[in-house]
Amino acid sequence: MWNRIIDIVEWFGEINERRAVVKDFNNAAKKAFISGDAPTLLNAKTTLGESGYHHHLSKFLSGGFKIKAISGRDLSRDEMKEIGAIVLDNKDFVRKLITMGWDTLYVFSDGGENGLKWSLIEMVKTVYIGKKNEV
Amino acid sequence: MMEEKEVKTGKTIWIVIGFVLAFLGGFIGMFIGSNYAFGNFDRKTKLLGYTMLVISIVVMKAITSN
Repeated sequence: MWNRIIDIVEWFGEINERRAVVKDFNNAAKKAFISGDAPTLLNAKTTLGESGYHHHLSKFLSGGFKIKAISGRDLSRDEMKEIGAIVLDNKDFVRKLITMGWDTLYVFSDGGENGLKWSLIEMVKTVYIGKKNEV
Repeated sequence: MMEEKEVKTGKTIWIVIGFVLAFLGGFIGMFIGSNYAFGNFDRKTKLLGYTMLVISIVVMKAITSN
């Protein structure tokens, strides 16, 4: 009985922690946009992750970290790739996303329906572990 | 940098139209549903597409069986 209550409390704690990550990301993006450091306002939210990108920590029905670039126009593939690269270059943040159950990073522009997706766990396997000394 | 893959997301207006047509039991609802379900869309849109497709088939079956 007590174990179940503890599990439920932990589950709610995890949800709050995930919400805090998204909120912190959005606040940082907002500050960067207001100060002029970033040309585009980014807004993140949780969505479904790709089934092929699942790892053993993936959250069911909420494994996708979707970033929408609010620019008022369609972004080119290179621009979206650049936004993705900025996020993926932050190794600590990517590791945090993985441990908290996200498996897919999406980048979309607010105008168009085309976007890009990355597998977070593949990123760790192929890029970070390949440069083990830097991690 | 790891290779990224292209993905599309469904427009809200087309998803709404698709569901309305699916409930009306038309082929267009089925077409929109299968386009979302089997196209290169994100998982959320794909799930909505599958749902649309199933609703279309069930409604169409119900209409034709009467």
